[in-house]
Amino acid sequence: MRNTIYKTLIFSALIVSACENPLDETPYNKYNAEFIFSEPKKAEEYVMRQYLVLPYGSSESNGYNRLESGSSMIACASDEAMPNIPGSNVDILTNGSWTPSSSNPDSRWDDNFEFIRSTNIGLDNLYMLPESSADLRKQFYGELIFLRAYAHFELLKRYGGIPIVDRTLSPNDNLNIPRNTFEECVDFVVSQCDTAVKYLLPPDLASGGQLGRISTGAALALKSRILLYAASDLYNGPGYDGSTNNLIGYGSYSKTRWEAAAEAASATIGLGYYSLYRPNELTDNQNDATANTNGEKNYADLFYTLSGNKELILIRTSAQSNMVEKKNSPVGYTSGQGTTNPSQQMVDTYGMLNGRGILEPASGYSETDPYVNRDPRFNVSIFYNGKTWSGRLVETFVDGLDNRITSTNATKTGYYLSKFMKSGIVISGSETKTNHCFPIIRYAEILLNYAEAMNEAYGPDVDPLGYGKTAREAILEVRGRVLRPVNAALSSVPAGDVTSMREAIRKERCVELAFEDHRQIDVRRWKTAPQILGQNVKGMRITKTGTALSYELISNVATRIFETKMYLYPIPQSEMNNNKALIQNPLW
Amino acid sequence: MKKILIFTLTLLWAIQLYAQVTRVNGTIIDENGFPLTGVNITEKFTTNGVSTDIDGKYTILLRNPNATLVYSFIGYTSKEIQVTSDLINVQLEPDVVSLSDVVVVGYGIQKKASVVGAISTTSSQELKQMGTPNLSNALAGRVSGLITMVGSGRPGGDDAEIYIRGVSTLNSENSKPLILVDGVERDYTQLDPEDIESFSVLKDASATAVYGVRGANGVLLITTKRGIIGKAIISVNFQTTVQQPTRLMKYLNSYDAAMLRNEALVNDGLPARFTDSDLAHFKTHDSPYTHPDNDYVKDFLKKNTSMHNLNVNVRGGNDRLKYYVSTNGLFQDGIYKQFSEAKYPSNAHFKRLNIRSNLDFEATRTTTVSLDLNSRVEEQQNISLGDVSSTSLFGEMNTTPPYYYAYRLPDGSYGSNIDGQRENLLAVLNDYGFNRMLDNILEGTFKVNQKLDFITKGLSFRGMVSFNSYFSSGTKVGYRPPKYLYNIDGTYTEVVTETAPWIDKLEGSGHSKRTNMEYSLNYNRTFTEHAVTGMLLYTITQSNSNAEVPKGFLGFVGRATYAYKHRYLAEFNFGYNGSDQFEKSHRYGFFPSFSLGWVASEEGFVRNNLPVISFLKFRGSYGEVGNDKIGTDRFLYLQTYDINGDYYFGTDNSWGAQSALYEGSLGNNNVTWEVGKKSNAGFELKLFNNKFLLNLDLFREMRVNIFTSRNTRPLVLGVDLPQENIGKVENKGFEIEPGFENKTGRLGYHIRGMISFSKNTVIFQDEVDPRFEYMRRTGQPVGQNFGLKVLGYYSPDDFEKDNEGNLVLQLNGKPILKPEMPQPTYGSVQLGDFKYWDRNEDGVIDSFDEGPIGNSRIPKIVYSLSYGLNYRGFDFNMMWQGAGGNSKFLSGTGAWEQIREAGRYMEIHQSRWTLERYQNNEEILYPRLSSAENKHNHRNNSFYQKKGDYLRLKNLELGYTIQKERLNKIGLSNLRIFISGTNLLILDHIKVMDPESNSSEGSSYPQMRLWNMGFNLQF
Repeated sequence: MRNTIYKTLIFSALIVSACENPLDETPYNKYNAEFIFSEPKKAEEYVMRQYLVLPYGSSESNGYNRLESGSSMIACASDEAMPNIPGSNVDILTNGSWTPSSSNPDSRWDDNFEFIRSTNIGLDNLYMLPESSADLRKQFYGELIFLRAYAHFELLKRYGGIPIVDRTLSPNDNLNIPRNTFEECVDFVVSQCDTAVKYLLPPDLASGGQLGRISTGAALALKSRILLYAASDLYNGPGYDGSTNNLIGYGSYSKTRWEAAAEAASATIGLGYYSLYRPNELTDNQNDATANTNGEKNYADLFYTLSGNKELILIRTSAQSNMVEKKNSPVGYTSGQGTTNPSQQMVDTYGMLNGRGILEPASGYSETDPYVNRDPRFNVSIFYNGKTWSGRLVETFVDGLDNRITSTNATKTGYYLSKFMKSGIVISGSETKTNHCFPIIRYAEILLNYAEAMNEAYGPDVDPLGYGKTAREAILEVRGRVLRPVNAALSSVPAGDVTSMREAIRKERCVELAFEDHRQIDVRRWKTAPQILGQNVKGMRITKTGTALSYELISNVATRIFETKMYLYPIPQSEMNNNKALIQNPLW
Repeated sequence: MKKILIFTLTLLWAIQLYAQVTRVNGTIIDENGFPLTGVNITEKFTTNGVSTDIDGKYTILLRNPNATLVYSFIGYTSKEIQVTSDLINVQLEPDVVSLSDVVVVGYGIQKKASVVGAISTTSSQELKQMGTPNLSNALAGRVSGLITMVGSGRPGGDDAEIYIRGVSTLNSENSKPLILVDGVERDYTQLDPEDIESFSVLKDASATAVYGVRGANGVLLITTKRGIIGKAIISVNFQTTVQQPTRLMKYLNSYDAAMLRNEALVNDGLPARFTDSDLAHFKTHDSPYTHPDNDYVKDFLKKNTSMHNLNVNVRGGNDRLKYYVSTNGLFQDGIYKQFSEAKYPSNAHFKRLNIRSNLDFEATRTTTVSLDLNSRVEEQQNISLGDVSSTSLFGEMNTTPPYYYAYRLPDGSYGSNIDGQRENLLAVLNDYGFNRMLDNILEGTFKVNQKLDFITKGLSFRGMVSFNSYFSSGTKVGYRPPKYLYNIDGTYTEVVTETAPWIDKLEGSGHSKRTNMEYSLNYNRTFTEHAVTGMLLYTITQSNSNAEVPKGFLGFVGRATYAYKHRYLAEFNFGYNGSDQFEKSHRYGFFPSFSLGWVASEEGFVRNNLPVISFLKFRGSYGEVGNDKIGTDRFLYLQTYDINGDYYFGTDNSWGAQSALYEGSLGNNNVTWEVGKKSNAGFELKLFNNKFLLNLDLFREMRVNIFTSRNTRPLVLGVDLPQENIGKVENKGFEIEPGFENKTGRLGYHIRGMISFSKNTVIFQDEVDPRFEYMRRTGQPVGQNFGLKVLGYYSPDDFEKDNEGNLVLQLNGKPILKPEMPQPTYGSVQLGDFKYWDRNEDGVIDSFDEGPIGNSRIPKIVYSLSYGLNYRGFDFNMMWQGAGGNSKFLSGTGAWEQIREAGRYMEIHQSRWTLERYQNNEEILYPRLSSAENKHNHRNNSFYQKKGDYLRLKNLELGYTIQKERLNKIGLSNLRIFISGTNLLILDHIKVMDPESNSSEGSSYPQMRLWNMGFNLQF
């Protein structure tokens, strides 16, 4: 009897001791810092993650739909367009309900600081890479420096001066970190670009299989953009509230800032690597149809051609997809969502194939047939009534296929967005997908940056420092890709007329870079936002009677409110609460 | 002569005197003839008393002649004997009622009378009465201190949310109790109530300290039936049920909806969508293909659907083997209609087959071996939208306007709206296919109980090895037919293209297993007036789920109890255990509890002076218990790097991306469990010979070290701070259970009530100092809702008028609010919009005006009242059950008007604000209609926040037991037939959907009303 019991007890004890302590488990699916940063491959994957700082939006492959919630593009917060869905989050930015505590769909405060932290951790740990990977270490270093600068830039353009964070913060640090001045932030980004240039790959090596890598060209181009911004009216003078508040600008004007901007743009041009993408030559003796076709192709293909496209300076890559096509197809196409409705004022900004504005004499514009012989960029960018797409004509006339009165998602303005879409991509049934490249900086912008800075610094027709071209020449280069006759194009700008040239450059920038995340910032830095962002969105009501179409302008499709404080975004209230050292932007 | 007579009388007197007994002794034995130790023997009407020694012997000196002796012992019926002899041997009979009155406690069993922890129980009988297929649904109102919320009635997906004494931590997800079946953590909701012997809820620290780091949220102990000595009893229990939804959302028809839709569009300055001729078509129904008027509830939901449940079990045993074996089958149908032309079955259903075998062997005279096996297969099916737990059919019904599409077009194809965004429900039920999830459950336990009396009397050893093995996976079959828009000119436009049929694996929770071992030494002995028990236990658990790293838990448990004369009770419990959530250096915690009890009714002065009191016990406890359920992340103490996202380089992005690595959440070395510091005081009182009973418990818990985020660190840091053990919540409340039962002649009846109340308060959380004090969440209950308070609707007097009294309109056509009115910031407002309270009086309505509105989602108070009677063979039971002190927030399809093309109009929307209705002084129950989501009106505000209080007629049952004599002739020993109903009536404030529904939009599969009919048969 006792034996049995002792056996039982001993057996039990064995069971107990045979079990390993079940509490001593470790996660198998996690890495630690040492592992990552001592392996070139893993370190590269870490750097890869920092590329996600480049603007994108929450939804994979949405391209320029860069808002974190909802599917509206940020273009819907400018005069370029409006969302087709009433009550979209983006409306907060335009309907006057914006406060520091409203959840700003374009805040980007939290994720950019998150990326800044990540890049700092990377910079702290790159030393662990073995000596055999010294070249990679250099390259990673350059990339991280650039990406950290880029995150600062994204914050700067929204908020003005922000806290510069150039080291990894610990939760135990004093986190009540004040904002740096606007000037310090600009200088920081510029100096970081200068540093990065020493380490980054040259553009010719950041191509082919390495396309998408940050190159020296990208660093120079970012420098061009930030110096152009810094030289602009919003910052280069008293602040928007009339003060000399150094968080929101320089407080006083200096022409040298335009000179610096011109020099920076010329440096990118001077690399000699980049050029406008124009596989088809456009000549003055081509007939309208051919010229149109060539111009359209030059412009449209730019947004989904990766091989041999030397216009791309800094891009956000993505998987092959058809999300852009789905998001933007007019709602009459199966699976089309038609989320972005370009405004009539945007449509009117597009000139004619002959380079004249629609209201200029001899433009050939017809109010009864407004969409013919327009700038090819219009044809590429806008779904207008009568445009051919996927085997049929787009119908945005009242109760047409794409504007059914029973469909609440139908266009509000009479237009849908077609830029960035590749024709022939199937979006329902047996879907097909394509590459897209969403250029963050492309060569055309650099030419426009250059023209703007040169015009302001020296005038439209001089090149005193021998950079190689005048402002006018730079603009013509951009227009020459799509318009004809090339040389007649800027006849409206008399030689030496800075003001007329300024207007022409601004209009050209609006057209060439439409829906590419520029407009809402450009009109702010030009200080034209009250007129432009404060005007109601206009649309076109097209009525079809028999085969005849009649066009009626609707002047108030959406009410827009722009108040002076909206020149800069308000720092989120939660952050104001938690960081006692922050000062809110004026008037918020 | 006289003298002789006197002498004789004196002599007789003397003889009688001599015959008077002054000292009685004897032996007390139990029903089996074994001596009983500690039996109380008292002389009636005096304080004179003794108790038996270890051999059951006693001696008592009497104070009075003709005394009556009272023999009493807990668990036995008291006996009164007139003294006629000096040797009185007594055999006490067990008190049948109180013997069954043992209570299952953590790692053991205690007699109810000597329990000092706060434990409440319910019986298998009461749980069966509800007739619900899911055990968790049968608990409402049955056990005090238990809060249940049944959010959905989908067959197989109807688990209730359960809390014991409310919520004591900052996250209700982390407040779930520990649930053990036969001592092992197991899925319990699909247990057959027939198989349950007892159901205990352990509430205070005294009861749960033994579970240490896992006990703070309370513990549910479920014990299944085991064999009993006696001849085999075969029971057959059958029940068939008709189910009906308790409540479905009700919506307006096409005509009314179209009218309101037009009004909403016009309100927003948009053109009306429906022309007069459209409206006429809706009204006359003369063009059903272009102007349908769909009633989805009528067309696609059955009015009644069935459920059948059969249990057969055999219970019996002899001195060597005791057995309980049982099988149970359940077939529950859903309420989706099925049509003859359907390609696939798509109705929801749930099928369950369960086999259980609980065996106990007397291996030797001192060794008992038990083997419990339980195996179950389950199948649940739902339509092929979303996953199996999706309730999209209801979601679709609630979001699709009635005029949206014709189910079938003239050529037989499926209709669609132009946008193609809503499903054609006829197609969903006929052609879409189904999701079918299969669950296999196997649970086994092997136990050895070895008496170690040879070492010291009362010592025993118990060992247990058990495992659970769950596997869940399924099939999804689907097809998407093309859908067409039928144009007014009779042409068709293909809106949705066909997708070929598919069959695929339905991802379930996969495989999981848990192994559990327990070894314990138990000591149980009585020394005359001192009863002592002790327990020391070691337990180790390991669980795996699919590819996850195994989770481990181990610990030591101890208990010591002491009772003096059954009057004075003391108990000490502890758990010392560890959890792998925490870093090595502080992985283990010690959780002690103490409790004291006093059975006042055992005191002579009570017994003699207050004979109405049949039982009275006071008890109190204090202890600390832990909670390691803190978030879903594991290894919170490690700093790691994770893969997140990917990136592409190169010119062809059809190639794979490179994965991207980033810094995971910061590690927190100091992460530890939450600690609940709990105190409890209560009494149990029975009066008038146990007819009246009253139990009362008061409790208070301070939960500290609550794992929560810091909210006061700036985002400049660039990373979320790890959660820390910094929160503090107080939870206090009470439970009262009064009851009365009586029998007069053949009529027996009982009434029982139950009220449980708990209220929690956040004492500390890391909160940014709010700009206004009313915005502070600290000091409010956990989960307190915050929002704007609605004062009314804007009327014409709130806006600027011109000289002629007309409203001044802005460019956008909206009127201008008077400057002295508080200005809303959610977009411009118009007539009939909500007027909010400018709480801070700063002239602006914004998020700074959001203060506490309503209550949290979880009820503060739950209560029930049950009533039962039996007469001859009839028995009748009724239970009302209610909950309150909570709020339910309605949104979307649960409350709003149609939003763009998604949503429905309800009756309440007809009482909307319009200028005309306002001027006519009609009753206004809703703001002016909006055509799209209105950022001003559709907010978290006090209008959409409804009181969650409800009272249900939870259960009604009528049964008849056929008299034994008649049955014996046909070989049966017992037959009872019954009809019953569950969820029969609701009184509440929500009205539009079931008040317990877990959806704010009414899109859950509704809870069911059950009409049951069945019999219990024994032979």
